[in-house]
Amino acid sequence: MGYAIIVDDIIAKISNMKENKGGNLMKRIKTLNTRNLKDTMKKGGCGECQTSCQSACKTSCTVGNQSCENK
Amino acid sequence: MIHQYKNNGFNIILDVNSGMIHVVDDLAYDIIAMIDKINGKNTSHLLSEEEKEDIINTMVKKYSDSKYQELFADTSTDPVSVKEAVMESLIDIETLIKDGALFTEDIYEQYISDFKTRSTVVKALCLHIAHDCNLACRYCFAEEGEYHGRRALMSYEVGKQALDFLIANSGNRKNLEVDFFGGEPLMNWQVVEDLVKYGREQETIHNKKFRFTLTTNGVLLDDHIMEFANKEMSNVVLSIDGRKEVNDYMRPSRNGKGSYDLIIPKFEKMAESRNQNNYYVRGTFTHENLDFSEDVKHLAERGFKQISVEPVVSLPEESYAIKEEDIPALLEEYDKLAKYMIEKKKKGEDFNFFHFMLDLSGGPCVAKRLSGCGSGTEYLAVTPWGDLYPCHQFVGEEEYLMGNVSEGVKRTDIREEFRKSNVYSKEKCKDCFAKFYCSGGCAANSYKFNGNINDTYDIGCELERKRVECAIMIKVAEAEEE
Repeated sequence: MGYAIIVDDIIAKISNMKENKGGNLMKRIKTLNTRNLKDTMKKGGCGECQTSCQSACKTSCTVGNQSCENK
Repeated sequence: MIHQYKNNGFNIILDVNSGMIHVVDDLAYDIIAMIDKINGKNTSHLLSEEEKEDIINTMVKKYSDSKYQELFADTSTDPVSVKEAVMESLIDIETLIKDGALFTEDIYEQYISDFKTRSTVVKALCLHIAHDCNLACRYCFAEEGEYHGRRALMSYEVGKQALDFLIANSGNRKNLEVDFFGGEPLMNWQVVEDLVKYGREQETIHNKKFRFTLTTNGVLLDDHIMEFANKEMSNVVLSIDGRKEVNDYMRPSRNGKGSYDLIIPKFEKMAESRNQNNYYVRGTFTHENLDFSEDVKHLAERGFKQISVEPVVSLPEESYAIKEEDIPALLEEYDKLAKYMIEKKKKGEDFNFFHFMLDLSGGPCVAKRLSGCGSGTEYLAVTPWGDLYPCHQFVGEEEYLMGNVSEGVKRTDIREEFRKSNVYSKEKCKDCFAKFYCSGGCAANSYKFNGNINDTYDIGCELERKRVECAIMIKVAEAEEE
């Protein structure tokens, strides 16, 4: 029961804080400004990006090192 | 699925399915580790009250100790304060879960079914302008430039057919890529110039846009070629391994003499003429130079700003092949290199290392991450005779001959095999945190080491995982500086 009271107290304390979407208002967790992969399902797949061998790799597939060309 | 790790003093959490990255303190790190263990593979599991109590009790037991005072700077390490801190963190973590930023589900199953049946067009070709070379690099995928005895230069006619094939099979894709490769393309330079001219004419007629790139060992690089390349090539890849002794051992000319002294001034000139942009100096590290970060540093100290140094791909029995026992040293090298880059940036002397590049806010979409490099589908290699292969690494592997530029792709079954290959069809990729960065790795590596494209080259995987960790850490360090 003591647990529930403490939780209510904490929720009251942080209820005025903004949601942490890319911000750093959480005390112990900082989220970097990152595009959520799930959001790319809607508009992704245009195919205009480079095939990665064309950049530098020629041996290791390095899709994650690329940028989206459709900006 | 999450991946949490400590690197260079940072505690980092990667949420694999969303790509979101969090930097946390030691307390939050431990809490997240406990939640991860409790959840296992069931990410949608909501913590019960008992599980929360267990986490609280474990953390209170550990952190109610004055040696952790720094973590509780504005309160104290007495059990009540620690308990409050843990509960605050649990609420923050719940918020992140609700926001789809932590412990997110893998929702790409349906996407995968659609993905496998997607129609693809050809949008990039790797033209083997020459099956010949004026160097004899020991690790060459074409047997030190010997090409199994069959040396040849691509004729202009075959090159034209290749460009025609690309245009005809590119569907509605406007931006097309053509890579002048080899062997050494400068040995057949006139054909390169003529094909660029032809390509520009065809652009206008067919409403396409060619992006030409050139890879060269630099031996024949001169002012005329540099001028042409600066005008017409969107990217230039300049092959050099790093330090002179390293480069000259692996990249000798046919008379055994090294190539470093000849090419380094040309490459420096080329890089400056392109304003240190839109090129790469591209090196390969082997068992002979496990301290490869020194080669990257060497190139950086010579003033190159765009550097790519990658592990050799070879059969395991070669003396220069990377072996299992080399891995710990190589992982350390990536860590050293990441720290070096951070220090250089602080001094205003930063440079790009290709494998550490990461665009967090504008990286590839899920479709791209699932389709990988496009080999065998969107990207094909063309031999001097016009034969089509999935990529340059498959050239000469007869079972992967797909067709010819004059007749098109005949082996559509090979194209299907490549189209269907993705991280979900590879057993070892399913539970790997790096899957959306490497897209299942290189098909050629998998084939060379395992005999099929749906397996993985494990040494490559270990190195890729470390590279992803380092790349993320560098971003974290940059964010801390701001």
